[in-house]
Amino acid sequence: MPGERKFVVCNADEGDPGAFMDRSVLESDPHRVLEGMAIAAHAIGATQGYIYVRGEYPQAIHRLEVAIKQAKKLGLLGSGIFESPLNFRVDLRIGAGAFVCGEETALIASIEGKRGTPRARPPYPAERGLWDSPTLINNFETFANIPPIINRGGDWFASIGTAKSKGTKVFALAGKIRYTGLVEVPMGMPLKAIVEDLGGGAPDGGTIKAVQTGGPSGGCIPASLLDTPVDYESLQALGSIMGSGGMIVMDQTTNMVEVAKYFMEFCMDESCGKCIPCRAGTVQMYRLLSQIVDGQATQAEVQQLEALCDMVKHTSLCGLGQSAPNPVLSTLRYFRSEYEQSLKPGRVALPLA
Amino acid sequence: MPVKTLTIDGQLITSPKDQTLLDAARAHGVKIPTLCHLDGVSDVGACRLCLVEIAGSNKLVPSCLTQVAEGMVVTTNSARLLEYRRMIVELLFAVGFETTAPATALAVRRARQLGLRNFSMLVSHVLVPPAMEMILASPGNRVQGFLAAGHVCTVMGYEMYDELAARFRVPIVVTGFEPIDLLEGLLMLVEQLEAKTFRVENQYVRSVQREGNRHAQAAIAEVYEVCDRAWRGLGVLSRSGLRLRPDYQDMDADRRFPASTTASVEPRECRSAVVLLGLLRPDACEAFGTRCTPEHPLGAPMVSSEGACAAYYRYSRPAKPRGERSETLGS
Repeated sequence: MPGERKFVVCNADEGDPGAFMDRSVLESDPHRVLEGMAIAAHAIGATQGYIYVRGEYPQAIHRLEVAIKQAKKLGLLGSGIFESPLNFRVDLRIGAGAFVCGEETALIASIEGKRGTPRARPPYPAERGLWDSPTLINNFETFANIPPIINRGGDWFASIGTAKSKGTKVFALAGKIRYTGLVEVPMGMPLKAIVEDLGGGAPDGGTIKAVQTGGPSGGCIPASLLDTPVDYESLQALGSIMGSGGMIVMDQTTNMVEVAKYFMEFCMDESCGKCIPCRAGTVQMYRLLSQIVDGQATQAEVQQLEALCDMVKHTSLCGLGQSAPNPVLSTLRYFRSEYEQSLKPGRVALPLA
Repeated sequence: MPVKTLTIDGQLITSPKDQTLLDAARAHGVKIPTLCHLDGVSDVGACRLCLVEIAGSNKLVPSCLTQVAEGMVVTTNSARLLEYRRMIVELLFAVGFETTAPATALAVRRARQLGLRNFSMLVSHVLVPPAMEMILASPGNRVQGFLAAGHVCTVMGYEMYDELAARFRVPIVVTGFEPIDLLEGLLMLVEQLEAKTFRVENQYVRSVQREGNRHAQAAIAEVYEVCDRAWRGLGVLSRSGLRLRPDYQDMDADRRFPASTTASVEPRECRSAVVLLGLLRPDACEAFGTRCTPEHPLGAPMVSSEGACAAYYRYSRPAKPRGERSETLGS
């Protein structure tokens, strides 16, 4: 709709534990994302952009501020970009530590100065976003990909990756792996090639037991499935997600129930409390997982946990709650015996109600 | 143009174009439960009780926020939806002091008006003044003054404290919940103690009036009567709780479902009584922080975040660094 006020928003509120892909680019090449945003603004006809950056990244914030000043001075941002009629201004907004502000509607509320809680979609931000205006909101990595695509062409970008997942993806390798750090790989590379060839496998003669992708919203993939190509569809089929690109490697010493409990504690802490299933459900799931880890649970508690996972996944308002059960569901799927080993003998729950 | 080809639970419905599914369903006698929906207030879709299924989509949608559309086929009462709703409501189980009693009283009154047969209450409301009196009357009492809870007084007022303050010669200050409120309440208590006066004062003037909320009190009086009640840690206190009046006893869960009676057994190790009496600092308890934590509480003061032991646990120990959690992953 020409004439209408529109916005471009860049989500740089990287919050998954152990993930720092965006941070490295923010600190080393901030101009790349400014250029990507300016191109996007030109495409949709926006004159104002915001970068919502994680408050825990002071260095990244500083370098973005410097880069914005430099770009304005060179006429790459601001009024009359490249002496054309194009105007595009970019301002920073600093997050205050809430994980849920990585969810697009919560992030938009936060920029508006409201409490950072999500709202139901539709309407989607493209229709009604920042201050109810049409808003293009994308992840930092997406904007950073735009300049090379414009320079080298879409065919070049599409030539990398798989039929459905194009281009490259940056992962943050962490956990029980010899070479931790960032890797950029073409989509579709087998998981094994990433963790063993690039990451050097498990250190100290250990063996890889599982790889967790997608952070608190993702799932654990067992070593037996390491031949899986890393693309959106394959990860989803295994009950995990690509997410922002966190990749945590676990070896034979890791207790998978404790992994699930760790991520549930994270989601419980970070739940914004707006909708009941996420606010109260994550607490109950965390308690059940604690009982199981402490050897205080029976089969009945595992059944209750599964029922809660199903309910919270399907009824929560935003992605945080909808994906909070994923670490539990995927570890139950591939490592159920670890749950059962720590159970007390007990009778199976009676059907509820 | 109205929407003419909307189907809700098999019923073909014509509805104005801008109507929500919830309104369309209700206008045609299809009942969808809600908690956060209130006529005249913007919908937020937070309670998730009004979720419905739409044919052709895997996602459940909140009917209070979803507009009707041509060809939409909606199911509001599948077995799956009923099960999810039941679980969501279960997660909301709550008890309370005088603050929450007016709302539950109104719910009871409404259930009676509607002639509901499947509505029951497990009433656990307690009253504050008898517990204060018990503490003041106990031998060896060391409590010199009270910050009276502001939310209780918004409902009940604070006339009822006059007699306690005079009889036991303690100052009582009705106090709000912001940090500045608490500091001011403490200051007012200390000033009274220094001046050796024993009055009831109101720090929380922006919310509390001396007589309280008469309408709320009337609702409580209509539905509930005062009874003896067992307090965790303190034992049975005379006239310290509320129960349903005889007229409403058909809604009393304790009577309808005898199995629901829950006798509270206090773990021997828990010393909550002496903590509540101010005779033991929470962190001086043997079990504090080891066998008794907010995750695994032995007694009431460790349960809710404002409990004495839970507050000590949270604020008097070095804060848990955020990174500590990642130890689980051994990274």
